[in-house]
Amino acid sequence: MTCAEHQNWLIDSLTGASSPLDATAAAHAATCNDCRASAEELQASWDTFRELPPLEPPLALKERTREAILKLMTEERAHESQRSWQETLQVPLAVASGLLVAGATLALLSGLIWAGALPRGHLFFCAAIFTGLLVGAFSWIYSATTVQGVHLDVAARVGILALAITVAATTACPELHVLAWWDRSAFGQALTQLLGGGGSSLAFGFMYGLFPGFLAALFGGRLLAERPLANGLVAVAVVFLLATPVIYLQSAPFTSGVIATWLVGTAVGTLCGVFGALRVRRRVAFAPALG
Amino acid sequence: MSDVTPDEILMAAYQAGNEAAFAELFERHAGRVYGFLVRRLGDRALAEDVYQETFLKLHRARNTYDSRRPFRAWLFGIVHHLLTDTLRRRRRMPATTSVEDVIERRGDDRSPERIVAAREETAVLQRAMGALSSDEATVLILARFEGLSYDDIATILGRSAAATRQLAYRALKRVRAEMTTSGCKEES
Repeated sequence: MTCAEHQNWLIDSLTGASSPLDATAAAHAATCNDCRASAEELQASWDTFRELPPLEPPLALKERTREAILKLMTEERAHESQRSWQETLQVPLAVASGLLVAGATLALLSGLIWAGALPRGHLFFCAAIFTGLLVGAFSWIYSATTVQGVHLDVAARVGILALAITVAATTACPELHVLAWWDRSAFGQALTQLLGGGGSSLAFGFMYGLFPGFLAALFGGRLLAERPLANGLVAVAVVFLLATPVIYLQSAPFTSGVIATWLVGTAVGTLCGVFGALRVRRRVAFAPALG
Repeated sequence: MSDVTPDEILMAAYQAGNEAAFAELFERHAGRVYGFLVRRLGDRALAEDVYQETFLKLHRARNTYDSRRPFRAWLFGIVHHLLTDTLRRRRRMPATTSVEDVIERRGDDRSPERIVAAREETAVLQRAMGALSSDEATVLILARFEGLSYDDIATILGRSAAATRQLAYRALKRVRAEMTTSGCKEES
């Protein structure tokens, strides 16, 4: 046995993970003064902890904590049995959002709105991407896919809600190319003067991601708080992924630098929006729990 | 043969919404969690906040628990995570438990002389614990008081089992050195 092996044995023997009567260890200690001294030293140190008394939480604290959890469990059970209005509405809301996105895409394809404003190639390309993304998102929603506490179905629902908000907002905008419209607005011009074209599109992208991400996660983000970091990041990824075809669709008049900053701004805005909403949801849900 | 239901089975029942299973788990581990936090934070008010937050977090994260993993390691993983956040927020290194507080709560029925002697020993030991790094103190408390294996502690700290054993070794050596120094000072 080497000194390093003796050290490992020593540490294990203190916790009872290895036998304190190991013959090899004893033989090593008999010939090694350092290890023998270490063994005595560590055993003494370990034994000293007997002096520390056990600590029990105050009864009131223990009761308060137990009651808070039991109350949460009761509320959750009541919630499950009643199927809250949010839960009941979330899937139809996602379906309606999907229909809105599909309708907007078809209207664009058929030239019903913004006729001739975009190259046909862009339209077909985006229609194909949207179809694929929507099929994927709805399959997650209806199969209630959850992997190790990460609710892909909820992330998909949040993504579709955010997309519907984006599509509704861009359709309601007086001009198809919302960034061009923004650039011509007084605020957009002021920002361009202040930050340059890239900075302005970065700020625009931030808001482009922030509001849909926040609203969608606020109203459709139930269960995301279970593993907030993982669930939040997946929701951000889905929202951003679904927003990119819209950005691509509207990107025709802009340089690649402007589009890149728009995308970066959107990613950061989505991140802030989704995590901001989760924070709000958490405060609302858990503030009363501890009283 | 023990007829005590294992924590992992209770946790599975808790995940399914069984209140009695939660109550039993809470009863078993409330004291351990509290003791660990008070010893690590050295501030009862702060420890009480983190204690409550631990059980709320456990409740929120209960569906992520995998019953093939030891429950206690998972629970102390949550505690360690919250503790690290708290220490970072407060930008303070772990202090020691207030000795008066510990003695007060001990409900001691020994003679006054022995209580005084125990108080002095505890004070020295607490000072020695205060000299450890954050991870060293965690390893020592989890191994000595909670009886967790080094493999479980390694998982909690995100280190290898060998590195965790090394931390325990260093911590015990340091405690001994601190105690010897303090003891000498007190004697002189």
